[in-house]
Amino acid sequence: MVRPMEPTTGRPAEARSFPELARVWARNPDFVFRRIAGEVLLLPIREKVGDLESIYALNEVGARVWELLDGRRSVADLRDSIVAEFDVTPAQAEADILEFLGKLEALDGVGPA
Amino acid sequence: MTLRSIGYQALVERIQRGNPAARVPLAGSWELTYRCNLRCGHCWVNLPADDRSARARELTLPEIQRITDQVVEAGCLWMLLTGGEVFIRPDFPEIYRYMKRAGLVLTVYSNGTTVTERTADLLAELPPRRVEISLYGITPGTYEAVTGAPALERCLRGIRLLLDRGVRVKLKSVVTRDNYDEFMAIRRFVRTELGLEEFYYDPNLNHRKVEGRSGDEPARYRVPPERVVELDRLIDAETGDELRKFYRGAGALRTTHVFTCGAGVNSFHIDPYGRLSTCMMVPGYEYDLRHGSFREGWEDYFPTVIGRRRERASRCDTCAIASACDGCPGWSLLEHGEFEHPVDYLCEINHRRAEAFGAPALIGTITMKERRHA
Repeated sequence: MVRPMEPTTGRPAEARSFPELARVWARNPDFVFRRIAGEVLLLPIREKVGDLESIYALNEVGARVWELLDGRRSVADLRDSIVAEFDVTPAQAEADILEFLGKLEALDGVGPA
Repeated sequence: MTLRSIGYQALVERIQRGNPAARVPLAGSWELTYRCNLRCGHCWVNLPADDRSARARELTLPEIQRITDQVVEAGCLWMLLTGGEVFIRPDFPEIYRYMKRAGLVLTVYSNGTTVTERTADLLAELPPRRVEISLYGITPGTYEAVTGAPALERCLRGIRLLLDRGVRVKLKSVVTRDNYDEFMAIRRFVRTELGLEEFYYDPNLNHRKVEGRSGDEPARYRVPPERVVELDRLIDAETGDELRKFYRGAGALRTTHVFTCGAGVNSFHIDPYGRLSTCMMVPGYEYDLRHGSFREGWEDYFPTVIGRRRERASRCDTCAIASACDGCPGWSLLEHGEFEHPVDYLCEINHRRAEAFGAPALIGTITMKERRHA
C-alpha cells in the first residue's frame, strides 16, 4: 500500500494531472476514527512498538475528509465537498487534500480503492 | 488541514485545557475476572480459577461488548484490562479484539504464566500499549512461596513469548515477606537476562476487597516499614535518586473533599460483575451496569461519590509531607471501612522515607509526633 509519493505541497492547482484528481482512495479499516471531547483522533490498531505512546490528531477539515474517504469519491469529489462545506478556495482545498492524503498514505492509513 | 502525532500526556492536557470543568471518562480499568490460577496470599482479589460461582457471576461477552460500546461513546480512550488473571477467560481474545476495534488503547496486566503462543500471537498482531507482568521471584522456591504454585518456568516462558514477538512488556512485583531477600536479584535478572531496563516494585499490600479469605490476610505478607526503606535506599542509588527528588517537592495537603484525585473525573473502574465505580479501591460505592447505562452511572451516580465533603479532622491535616503519602480514601476504606481514617502502615513508610530522602528543611518541619514513626 505504501509507495513513494511525489511532493504535492505548494504546486499550483492547474499543474496537477487529471489522474491525480481522479484517483479514488479508501480508508484502511485498521484505523479507528474517534471524536473525544472536541479532539478528532485516528488510532492505528496494528501499530507497532515505538509509537504506542502517541496518537494521530486531525483538525475538523481533516476529519471531514476522512469521513468522506469511502472508496468511491475521487480527489476531485473530495475537493468539491470541502469547498462546499468550508470557507476555502478550490486550489487551496486541492493542495491541502493531496498533502493530507500523502501523509495518511505514508502512515498506511489510506490506500488506492 | 492537519494530521499530526500527539503524545498521550499532551492530549490529556489539551482536552483539560479545552474545558477545565468537563468530566470526561478518558481512562478506565476493568477487572475481567477475580479468578486466578495462582494462589498468592498477598492478593486482594484472587479467587480460585475453578470457582464456578464467581465465573457464573462474571459479565458475559455480549455484556462486555455492550458496555464497551457505551464507554467508548462516552469518550474513553485508555483501558486497563486486569484481574484476577485475564487470560484464564476463554473469551479473552474476543474481548480484546472487540475493544481494539472499538478504538481503545489497551494495557493488560497478567502474571505471565497463562500466556500461550496463541495469546502472544494475538498481542503481536494487535499490539497493546503494554503488557505488565508480575515476576515474584527468580528461584522456584521463592516464586512458589509467593504464589502458592510451582510456576516460575511458565511465567518466564510467557514473558519470552511476548518479548520474542516484539510485544512491549513491563515487569514489576509486589515486595512481600516471601521475596524480599531476593528482590535485588530479581531486578538484576530482569536487566541482564531479559534485557528490560524498567522493573517496578510495590510494597503496599491492600486489604482484600473480595470475599474468599479474611480481609486483612494480605497485610500479613507486608514487609516492615523500616525494611521497605532499606530496599528504597538500594534501588534509589541505582535509579538516579528518584525518591530524593520526589521528597524535595513533598508538602502538606489542604482538602475540603474526600476525593482529590482524578477518580470519577477522568477515570473509572468496572469490576467482573459489571459494577461501575470511581476507582477499583472503593468497593461498595458502585453503580450496576447490568441495570443501567454507563452514562447514567457517570453523570448521575459518580457526582454523589466524588462530591463527598470531608467530615472530620485527622492527623493527616497537619502532616508536613502528606502529599508524598501513598494513602488515599480507597486505602482507608479497605483498611478501616471508612474514607478518612489514616493508614498507619503507609504513614510510617512515608515518614521513614522522608527521614531517609527528604531535604533537611523538610525534616525540620515534621512534628515530633510524626517523627516517632521513624
